[in-house]
Amino acid sequence: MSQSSVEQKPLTALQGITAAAWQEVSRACGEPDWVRNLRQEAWEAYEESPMPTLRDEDWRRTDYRELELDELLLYMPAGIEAKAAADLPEAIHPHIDTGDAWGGLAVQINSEVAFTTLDASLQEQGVVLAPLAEAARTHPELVQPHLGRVVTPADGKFPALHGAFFSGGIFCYVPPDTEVALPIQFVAWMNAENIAVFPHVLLVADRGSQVTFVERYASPSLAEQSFSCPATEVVVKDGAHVRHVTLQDWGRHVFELGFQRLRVDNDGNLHTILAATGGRLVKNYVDNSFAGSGVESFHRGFFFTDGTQHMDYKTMQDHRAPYSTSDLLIKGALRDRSRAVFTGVIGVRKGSKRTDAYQENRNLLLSKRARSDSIPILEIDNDDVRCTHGSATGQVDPEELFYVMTRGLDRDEAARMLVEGFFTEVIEHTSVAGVQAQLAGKIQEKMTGWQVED
Amino acid sequence: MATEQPFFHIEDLHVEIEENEILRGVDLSVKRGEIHAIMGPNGSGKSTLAHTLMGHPSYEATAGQVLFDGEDILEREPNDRAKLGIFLAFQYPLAIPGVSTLNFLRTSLKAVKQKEISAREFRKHLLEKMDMLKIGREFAGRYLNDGFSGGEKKRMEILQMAVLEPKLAVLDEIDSGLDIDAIRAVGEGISSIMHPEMSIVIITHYPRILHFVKPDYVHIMVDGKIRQSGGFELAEELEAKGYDVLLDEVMVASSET
Repeated sequence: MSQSSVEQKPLTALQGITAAAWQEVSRACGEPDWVRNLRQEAWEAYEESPMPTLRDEDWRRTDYRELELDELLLYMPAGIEAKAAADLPEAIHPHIDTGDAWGGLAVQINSEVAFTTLDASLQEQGVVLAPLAEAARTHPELVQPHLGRVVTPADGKFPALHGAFFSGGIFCYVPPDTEVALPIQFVAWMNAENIAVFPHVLLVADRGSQVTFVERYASPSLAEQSFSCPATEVVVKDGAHVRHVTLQDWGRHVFELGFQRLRVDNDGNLHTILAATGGRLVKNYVDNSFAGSGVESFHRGFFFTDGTQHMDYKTMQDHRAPYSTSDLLIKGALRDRSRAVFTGVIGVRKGSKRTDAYQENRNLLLSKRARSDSIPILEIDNDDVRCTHGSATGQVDPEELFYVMTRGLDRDEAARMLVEGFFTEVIEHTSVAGVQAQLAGKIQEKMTGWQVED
Repeated sequence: MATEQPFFHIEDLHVEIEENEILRGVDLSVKRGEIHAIMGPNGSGKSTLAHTLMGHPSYEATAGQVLFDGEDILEREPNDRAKLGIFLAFQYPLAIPGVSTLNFLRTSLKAVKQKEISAREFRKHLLEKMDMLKIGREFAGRYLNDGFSGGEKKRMEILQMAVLEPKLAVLDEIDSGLDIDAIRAVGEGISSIMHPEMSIVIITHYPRILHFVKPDYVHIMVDGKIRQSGGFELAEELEAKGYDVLLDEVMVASSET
């Protein structure tokens, strides 16, 4: 379906959140009726729910009123047909060529998947990597049980909006007991102003399988605003091991309101990395849902804001069954006049005995004008559990600074070393080597021109 | 023992923290190749002296001078003092998470010596010093002091000193909190690094470490001032009598002069 994109030019006139608009998107995607029905349900949910406002607890620290949703084009073609990765626009290459070998790669440009490739050996093993609408036609038995059922319109106004308007998107399936040795990467690239994109990831790791999946959101920085409303659905079935990496590096004109849910079944193993550095105003909800017992999960993440960036991340460690362990650490650094909100929830539902959950948030204020909120929440409906959380926000520690300076580094060099070390503790858990190096470079880029304040 | 003029000279040093005077006129002269021990009870100002010598911003020198190779260093930044060849081993070394011992010390050596050193060349240098100090090579890859025991941190301070090759090392309570075996290891490490061009000021509450790092001079500091100076026998006297008895004698003596 992505090949037909070049002829979809009329859609660039698509503007305004209306039923006619999502119906047009549905036609452009060329999807089966059951997918269209999902959009219909999502649209109804969208229409029934009010726009979140500063009066809603979840939204009171993130004011997105500058987002002009009605001014944006809701479907923008890729404008390119790539037969090989080399045909993709030059600007995308730094996000793909990380020096790593990939088992599979899919690139969405604006609203369409422009390129997909998957190792022949993986195809032979039954691994699927395909644009979502194509997968819905060719593998309905794999897609239908999960699409729109992990992240649902009931999850909120913007998940509902996404459900009605998603376009492009990728489906990845790993068959039972299959080990995908090389990571698979999905890149959502946006290169236009005044548009809204709705990328969708559906990753299903079947029983006992193993896979590393990297999601990457990036764009140049443009003058006029754009909007990203992504959703990620990950299903980790019994005994499967999933390493999931999300890199958010949008340009400074991008608003993002996103939703991820990663569902883990019995004895599943989930390892996630989140790295957020881009965007103008970003609000994301990451729900790690431990549906099965005996789950082991490990989450590391960081955000780094500068200028007037605003980032709002909420994570959930949702223990819905007994004997599961989760360990989450999110670090943040804020420069200039930027603002960040982190809300970390540990949920332990009835019957989830012997839950062992850990959550920590540490923030570094690199400017007196930056502001950070850290909100830990424990929702515990069961005895016989162990839940620990910690939160600390502060400046570069003057005693650490003195210590490093006594070893010959000047004040700024010493402070930089401490900040880089602060992030290394998260970055080092990224199992994809080139991506890890790239993140270290991103931190250095973010530190450019920074001087430690007295 | 060296015979030349003192290259490190503290004269009538007064230091305040938050407007409380802690040091009340410290005098000390150190020649190349000498080891000086500064002993004294808790709260006598020993650690204040150590921090002041390295330029900690919370300690304000209100009078006196600290001359290093003839230059007053009191206005210098801590990193400049390090470049001059002054090293402070901390009583409570800080952990630097996310920075490996190897990277930390390579960056540090480059800054102190103000020249490039290849990763390969540095690695060799570091491993040599680690072997010499009997520190496991695995520490090179670990984050500096992160999760280390008290004894391990102190030994890492000695390793840093060995790598940076200072002209003057100020060791602030390098023996505190260590058991006797660890004190021996640290003491022997210091002795193995010492050479005729290097000087050490070892600040300690307890005389034990001085059996492994034998000082040429021992100074007793009480209430922000050096009240008595002598040779190693002063440390032995302290060991025999304890602070209470010795201090009574010292204070009586200094009030008479």
